[in-house]
Amino acid sequence: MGEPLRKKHIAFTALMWVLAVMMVYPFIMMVAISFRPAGQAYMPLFASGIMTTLRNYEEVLTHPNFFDWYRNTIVTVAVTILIRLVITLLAAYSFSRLRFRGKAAILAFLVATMMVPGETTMVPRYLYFQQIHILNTLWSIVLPETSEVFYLILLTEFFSSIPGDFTEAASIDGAGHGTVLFRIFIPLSGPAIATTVLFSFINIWNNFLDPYLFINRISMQLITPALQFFQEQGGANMPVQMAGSSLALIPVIILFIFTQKYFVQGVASSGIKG
Amino acid sequence: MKKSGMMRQEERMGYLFILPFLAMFAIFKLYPMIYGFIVSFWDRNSEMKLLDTTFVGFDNYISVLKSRSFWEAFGHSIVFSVIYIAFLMVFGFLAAVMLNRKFLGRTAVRTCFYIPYVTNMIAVGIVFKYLLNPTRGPVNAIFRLFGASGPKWFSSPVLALPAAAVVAAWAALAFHIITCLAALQEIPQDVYEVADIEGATPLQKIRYIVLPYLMPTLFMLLTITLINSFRNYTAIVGLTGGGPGTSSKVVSLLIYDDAFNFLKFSIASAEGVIFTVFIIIVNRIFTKARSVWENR
Amino acid sequence: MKRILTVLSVLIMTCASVFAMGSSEEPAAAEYDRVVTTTVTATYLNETWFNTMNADFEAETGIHVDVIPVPGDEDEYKAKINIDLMAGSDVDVVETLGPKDYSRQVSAGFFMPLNEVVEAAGIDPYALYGANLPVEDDGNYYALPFKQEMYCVFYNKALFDEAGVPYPEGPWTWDEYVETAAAITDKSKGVYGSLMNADLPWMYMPAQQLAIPFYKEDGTCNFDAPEFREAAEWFKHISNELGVQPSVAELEAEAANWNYYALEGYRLAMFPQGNWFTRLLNSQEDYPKDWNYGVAPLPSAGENGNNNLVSLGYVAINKNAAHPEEALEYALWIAENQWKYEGGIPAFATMTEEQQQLAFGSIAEASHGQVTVDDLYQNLINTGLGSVSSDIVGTAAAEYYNIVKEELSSYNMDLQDIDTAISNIVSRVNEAIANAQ
Repeated sequence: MGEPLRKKHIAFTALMWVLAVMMVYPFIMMVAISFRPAGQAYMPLFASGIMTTLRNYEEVLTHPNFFDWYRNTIVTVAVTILIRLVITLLAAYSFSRLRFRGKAAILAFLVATMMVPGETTMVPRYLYFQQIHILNTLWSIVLPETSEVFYLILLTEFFSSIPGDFTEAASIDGAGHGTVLFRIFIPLSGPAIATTVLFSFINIWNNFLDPYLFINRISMQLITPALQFFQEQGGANMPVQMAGSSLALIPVIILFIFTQKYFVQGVASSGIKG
Repeated sequence: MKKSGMMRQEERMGYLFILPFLAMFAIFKLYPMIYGFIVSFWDRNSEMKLLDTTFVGFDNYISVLKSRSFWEAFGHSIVFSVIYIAFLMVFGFLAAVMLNRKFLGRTAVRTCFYIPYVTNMIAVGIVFKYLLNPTRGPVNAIFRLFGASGPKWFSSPVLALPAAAVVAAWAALAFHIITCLAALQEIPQDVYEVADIEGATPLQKIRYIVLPYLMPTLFMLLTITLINSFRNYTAIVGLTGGGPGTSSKVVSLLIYDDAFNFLKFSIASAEGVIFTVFIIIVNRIFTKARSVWENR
Repeated sequence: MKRILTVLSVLIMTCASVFAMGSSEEPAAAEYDRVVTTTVTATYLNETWFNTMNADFEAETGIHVDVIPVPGDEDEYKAKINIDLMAGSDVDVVETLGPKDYSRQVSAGFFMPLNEVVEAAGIDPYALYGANLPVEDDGNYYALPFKQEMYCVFYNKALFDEAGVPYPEGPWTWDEYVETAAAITDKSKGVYGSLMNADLPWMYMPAQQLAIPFYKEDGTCNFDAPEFREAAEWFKHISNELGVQPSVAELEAEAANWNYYALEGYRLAMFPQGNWFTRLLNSQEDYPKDWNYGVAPLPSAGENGNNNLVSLGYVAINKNAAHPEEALEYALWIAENQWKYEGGIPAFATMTEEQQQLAFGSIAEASHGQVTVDDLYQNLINTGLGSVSSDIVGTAAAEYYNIVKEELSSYNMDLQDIDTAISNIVSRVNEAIANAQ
């Protein structure tokens, strides 16, 4: 490597690191605020006279419902992902491998409905969930989340990319479609399934609007909107909300750091990249 | 005879396999859409009229289309989306290209770039309100070093909406980076080697190698981002609350307010329907543009 | 096949656990003989007095209180309880934000009329609460007032000392208030003489003190009355031109966090606020500060504006209450006792000396000598001022409030002139009123 090129490379590395710090700075600030008294929430990172306190964490952890929220969120995420995977894998197999009348039309219709953002249907969803009595239960979050067309497309595209010989060999052996799906396709689609799980996990974990809207009982709430319970007259209790956010983030961050290599791999092998 | 039997069986299995998905979809996704469409033709515009409702035809649509606040919010939504999409498409691509190069600590740097994506938007909002605080935030402190007072960000009626769009885009950047990185890895190494031999500059490489390879990915990202850009309720609530005044009130906020603060459910549903029609039209245009580009 | 079975069984187990949680919605029913459920703001959750109060209630009556807190700020609280009641909730007792949304909630049929049951309980609410009792046009009342927030001016003694300005004393006028604020304001040190929220009623406070009606006789919007315009112009004048207080644009940047702003360090000399603000002023742990505060009455808005602003809190019983008997007991008890625990002012028509001591004793004690019981009583209650509600009331109150706030904010930020702001308010509010009927 020539000297000017080397210098350039060092400059580039430095630039990337500066950018990286800028990307995590708000996150660091969040953690920093979580250790401050409310009156000092909005002060610079290293200002003089800042007091550190564990009171915020104490308040969050001693909240009688904190572990309910955590458990609710974990259950919701787990159940949603499980149901989502099962029904989406079946449908994706069918759309990618089986011939039946109306297939293209159904798929096109499903894709078209992706254009309707959840925000524009929150009113009918609220009125409807009220009628079928699933407001204030985790079902109001789980059930609508299970059939997400985005993941159907992702897995359908992935299955389509699996070479046809596999299926043919299997069907000559007389294996049914169920066997083919579970014995051949699912073991082959590790990265795609990992991607689905991770994206689902992050999206459901950080979902704010739906649970905020559909769940009115404190013990039934999920962790992200539940942080809104840390209020005081005149506004949000910022440091306590920050402490709660930090605690809520732990599982996501751990999952993310340990699996981030699958992200790129999974996306690369699935349909998202176009 | 046997073949058509096989076909029939395959068809049956085909329907059977999509049935669970379609059933859940029809019950929990499609029906609310239709229901919203129906509600928008009835008068459920106050808590007293919830049970005792009457059919009013297009009345709700007429009053939405005539209301100033709807068009204002509509304009804000478009501005938000344009900035959000532009930021993500440009910086998502650039960041991916840079992160694709080898350098010291690349994995750690990548992780740093992904962290905003997993942080919840409400917490992001609280922190950014501090970072962009005109008098006490660190961002404006930098401006003051150069003697300028700096922009007022979220308290400026002009900048609040663009600033919110940029922060929301910043938080969503990881998805674009990951997707672009995935596509970048598919570019065969020898293409670069040929370019190196011919002495291509990095910019030329991007222009003549990377961009053409990534075009399908970028088009797909554009479609997804277009849809996501209208899912902006949490971002706006967390960052500006629709203010100052109404200068960053987008359609999703208007729908929430009309429905849940003022209990005008039918008006809110009509707003949702009109906005959805708009999104579908925009998306049709995008799809058309894509096919024209691909067939050129 | 084995794997499928494992997946399925895990699925079933998790589903079952969700079901189990769905049905654990009324956990208290089995554990206690008598239960009452109540909806309150999530703010209460962090307050020890609230739990002590419910424990005392349970000790006295044997009724267990099941709390359903609602997150968010005042607007979100109001929206949430309305949605919940509309969805047919069977919660028993609801603490509402007082007059703000009351008529609307009553006409929506959310609440139970209380006349007969309260009088059957041997209480004369007309004598007890006087004008604070929310009697509707039909002669019924659907809620009992359980607290009132009185406005006053809190001030930062250190800033007064530093500027050599004597502490403010009542009775005084807004002109004197602005003069005092101007004497203390020192932009070079970042010191403002005053802080008023970028919110209602601050943006037209004198008009509210003059008790200018919000509706004309025909029920349409009366915001085009000259007093509102004058008050709004005055607010903008003292913020943007005189600069004795942060402008709306500056405050908007703080969004929901103006209380941090108010209490941070050494910057703001006077804040017209409700008595609840003492909680922040007294909380050395959450809001460390190195200055002492004092209290003065709210300035008068002239001859017809010798009024203090008061906001009430109401306690109402849901018409679909699951436990109507217990609900009544709890509501009556709250109306009689909550203020003692909360350290607030009861909504009684008159207060005995003992009650004053009770109401202000805890605040004075928590202030560690910064204010005394007498300071508080003299400057909050015994001010010689009459009282008017600080809220916009009526059928379209929620929309009215939002529209005025939006349009006046835009006016204060020079996005539109006062004529446009007022004509927008009038046309938008009239539209909202027409829609609500």
